[in-house]
Amino acid sequence: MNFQRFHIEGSVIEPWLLRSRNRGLVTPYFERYDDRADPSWVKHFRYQGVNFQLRRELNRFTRVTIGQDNLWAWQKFTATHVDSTRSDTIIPPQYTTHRLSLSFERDLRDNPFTPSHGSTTRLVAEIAGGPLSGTSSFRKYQVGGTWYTPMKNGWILATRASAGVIDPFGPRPSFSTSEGTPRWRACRSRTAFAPAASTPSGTTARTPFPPAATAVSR
Amino acid sequence: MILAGAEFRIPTPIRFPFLGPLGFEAYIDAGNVWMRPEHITWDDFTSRSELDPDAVRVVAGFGPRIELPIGPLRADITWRWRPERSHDKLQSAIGPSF
Repeated sequence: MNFQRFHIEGSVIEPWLLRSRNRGLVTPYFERYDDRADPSWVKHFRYQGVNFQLRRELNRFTRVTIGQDNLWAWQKFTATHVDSTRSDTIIPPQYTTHRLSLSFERDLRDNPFTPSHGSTTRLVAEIAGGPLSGTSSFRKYQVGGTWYTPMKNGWILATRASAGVIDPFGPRPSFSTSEGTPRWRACRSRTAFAPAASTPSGTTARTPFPPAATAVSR
Repeated sequence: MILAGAEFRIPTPIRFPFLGPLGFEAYIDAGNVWMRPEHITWDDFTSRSELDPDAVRVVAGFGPRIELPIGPLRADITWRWRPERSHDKLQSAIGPSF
């Protein structure tokens, strides 16, 4: 049996930071992820990092969060049916992302674990790279929402939608092998359906990933 | 990037006490990432070519769920529906799906 994803994280929370209504969180995390969605490839990912958050509850349903995330990622694609050396030519073996984020969340669900009615709204603005350093520099804006609608016979219709844009800036990152030959240049983005309760990266196993030719990162 | 999904969660119609937390769910997820908004075309939603990077990916699945104090324990049979049908897969998770 092969596990698709292994993720572990722990948070240190200061609920009354500096005796104010602000909550502070420090969350180191580690994740290994093997994507076997395409039988031609096994995509191995290893992420580790630490996330800092400062959160303020504006009222019972609304909160604003300022975050700073530092991610170190390693990745390798292994071809199962074709020449495995091909993966070395298109995939950077590792990258780092340092980002600042500002998010606004409104949660009107009746229950965070098993909601039956209500909705959530989430707005996120991020900036990575630039003076923060890191492999890539980009600005990213996302908006998303979920809606839970009770129906007849106790059925519940849960819908969600999210959209976002990413705007790379600065010099394009280049990746080199140990021989020093540049083999891969691109700006990358990976965004997935984001249940707040899962991981700092907000990924789920149900994400319909783009094809292998589309590099993914976060 | 545009993502959208819809999910039905269906509680068991048999309300025996020991089956109370047991339910059933079916879902469909769709999405993709485009380089530019003007690259989004209607053909992306109808394309059946796996090699088309702009083709919208659609994933469907269904399976039982058990409500636990820490969130639902889910087991799904899932498959990629578009652009090409994939093999069925079994996956499980703990926690809300979204």
